Amino acid sequence: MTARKTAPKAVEPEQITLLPLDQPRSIVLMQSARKYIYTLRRVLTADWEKYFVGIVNQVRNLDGMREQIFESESALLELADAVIASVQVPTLPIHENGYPLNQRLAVGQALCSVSAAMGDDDTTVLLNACWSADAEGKMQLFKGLVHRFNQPTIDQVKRWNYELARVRVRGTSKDGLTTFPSRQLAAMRIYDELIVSVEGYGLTAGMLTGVEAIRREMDGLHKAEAAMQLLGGSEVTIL
Amino acid sequence: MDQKLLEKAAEEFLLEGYEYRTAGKILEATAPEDREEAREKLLSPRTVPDGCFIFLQHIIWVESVLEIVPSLSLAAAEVEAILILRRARKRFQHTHPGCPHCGMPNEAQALRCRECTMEIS
Repeated sequence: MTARKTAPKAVEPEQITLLPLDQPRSIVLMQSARKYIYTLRRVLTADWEKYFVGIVNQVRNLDGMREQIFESESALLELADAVIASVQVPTLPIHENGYPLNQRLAVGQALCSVSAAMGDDDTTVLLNACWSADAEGKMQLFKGLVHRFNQPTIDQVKRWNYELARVRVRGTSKDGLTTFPSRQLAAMRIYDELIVSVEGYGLTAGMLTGVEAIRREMDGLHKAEAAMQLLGGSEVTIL
Repeated sequence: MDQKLLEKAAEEFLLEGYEYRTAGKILEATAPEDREEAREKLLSPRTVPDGCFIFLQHIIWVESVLEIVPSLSLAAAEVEAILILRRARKRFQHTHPGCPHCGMPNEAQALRCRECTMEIS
């Protein structure tokens, strides 16, 4: 396991606001003293999978030099474009390629605003996440969302390490390219295998409980972040 | 993963480990800002892309886990890579036999062990 961040406090008993997984989300942006309210449809697992696959993470070796190539903006824009349902500013000019680029990026970044830390034991992960704006337009931050897991087996740890190490290599050290696979996709799969319970999440019908329901309803990014924290999701390092 | 690249990476990795026993002490005494340059001068260069070493790192971990958990299920690529690593290690041991006194590898033609300084032949 890698070094862990200081754990935020778990959901306080008096905090009854559940993160509403199946509700539309809204992101409020301010630009040039004007307020833009973006309404988003639910981000589906397929949306997250497409986003994770779209992230480019490569190392190019060229004449003894190493160049790290990391590009996620294109995937982020695609994600934002896929889930933006409407925007509430009548005079907003709609560009040929959709809403303004900087705002679409900001929406994408807001969707990806999740941080993870270990809980009190080594099978509990706590997430902090921005989710949606409240009625006053202020972004709600959900703190200490709890994910409890079974202890991973050595086979699962091995499979995780294998997924991370399964890089694609082309060329030589003089002109070689290493392409890293998406860790998040593998993390989402392992999440489904290991999850036991969550706290702090809700659906229109009530609190999210039961392993099957969690597998089906949990947000893909939350799955990936929680599982990566559990299994030690730090970047793969060169020997 | 290209097997030839992986084979080369295994050779370079073993040699690097060997060289590091001496170079490591010098590197530790080198100022952090000069360490990368010193590393390049002291250690043999890598000639395969980074990804091969990352996969190799995983294979070395798997190989060590197999000693404790022989039933660990492996992907075909992992089995192939373990075999490549073992072949590379055998070749390396042939060209760098262990000192009869302390066991540390030395170049085959060395007269004294670079670790314990005892006579080898």
